[in-house]
Amino acid sequence: MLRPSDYSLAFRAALISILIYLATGIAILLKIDWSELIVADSALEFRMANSLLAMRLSAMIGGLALLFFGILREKYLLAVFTILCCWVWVVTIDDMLSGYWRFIQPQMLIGEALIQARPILLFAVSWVMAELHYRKSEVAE
Amino acid sequence: MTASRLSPEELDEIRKIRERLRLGIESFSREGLLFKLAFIFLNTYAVLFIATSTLFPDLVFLSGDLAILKDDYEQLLRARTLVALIAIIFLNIAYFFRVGFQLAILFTLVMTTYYSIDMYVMYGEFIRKTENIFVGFFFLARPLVIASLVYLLIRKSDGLFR
Repeated sequence: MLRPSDYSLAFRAALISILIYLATGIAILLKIDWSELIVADSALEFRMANSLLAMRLSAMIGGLALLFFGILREKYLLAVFTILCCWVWVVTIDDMLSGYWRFIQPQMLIGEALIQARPILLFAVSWVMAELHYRKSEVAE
Repeated sequence: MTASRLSPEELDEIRKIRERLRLGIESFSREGLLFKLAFIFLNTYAVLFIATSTLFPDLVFLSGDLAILKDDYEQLLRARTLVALIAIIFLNIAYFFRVGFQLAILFTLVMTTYYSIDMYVMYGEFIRKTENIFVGFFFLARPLVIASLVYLLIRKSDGLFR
C-alpha cells in the first residue's frame, strides 16, 4: 500500500486534489437532476447530453476505482497514473475542440465547477505521473 | 567547396540526430512481421481517415435523415482529425527518433479507445443507419486499430509501467 510520507508534499496535494475532484464529481452527478445541468435545443440533443453525462459519470467511477487500486497496490501506481493522465488529457482536448461543453449549463455552480476545475485536475495528474516516472528513473540509475 | 558556417559542436549535434534516425529506420527493418504490419496498418488508417475527412468531407459525414446532426458531427470530426494527425505524427517521430515511443502509443491507444466509445454511445445508432459506406468502414475498422495499438504497446512496453 502507498505510504504518503514516502512522497513529496506536492505529490500528496496533487493526489488529494484528484480524489476530491473525482469524489465530488461523482457525488454531485449522482445527486443532481441532470435536466437542470443540460442545455439542449431539441430532444435529440437532450438525449445526447444525457449519454455524455452518463459516460462522464462512468469514467469518473472507473477512474476512482483505478486510483484506489493503484493506492492499495503501489507497484501498479505508475501504470494507473500513466493511463489516467493520458485519459484526462484526451478527454479535455476533446471537450474543448468538439464543443461538448455547450451541453453543460454554465450558470449552475456545478456546471461551472466541472469546467473550471479541469485545469487543476490536468495539472495534478500530470504532476503525479511525472514524479512517479522521475522516481523510477532515479531508482534505475 | 564552401566552408561550413556551423561550429564543430553544431555539426556534431546534427550528426547525432542523423545517426539516431538511421538507427530508428534500421530497427524498424529488424522488427517482426506482425509489428511491421500493425505499424503500417495504423499509418495507412490514419492517412486514409485524415485525407478523406479533409479532402472529401462529404464521404465521411452523416447524410440523409441525419442532416440535423451534420453540424455537430462535422465539428467533432474536424477536431478529432486534427488530434489524430498530431498523434500519428508524434507516434512516427517517437518511433524513428526513439524518444517516448511508449508514451506515444499509450496516448494514441487511450485516444482511440475514448473516441470509439464516445462515437458508439453518442452516434452509434445514427452510424448504423447511415448508408455511407466510408463512415461504416472507418467505424468498423476501429477494433483493428485498437488491437494494433495494444500489440505495439505489449511489444514495446518494457519498463513503462514498472
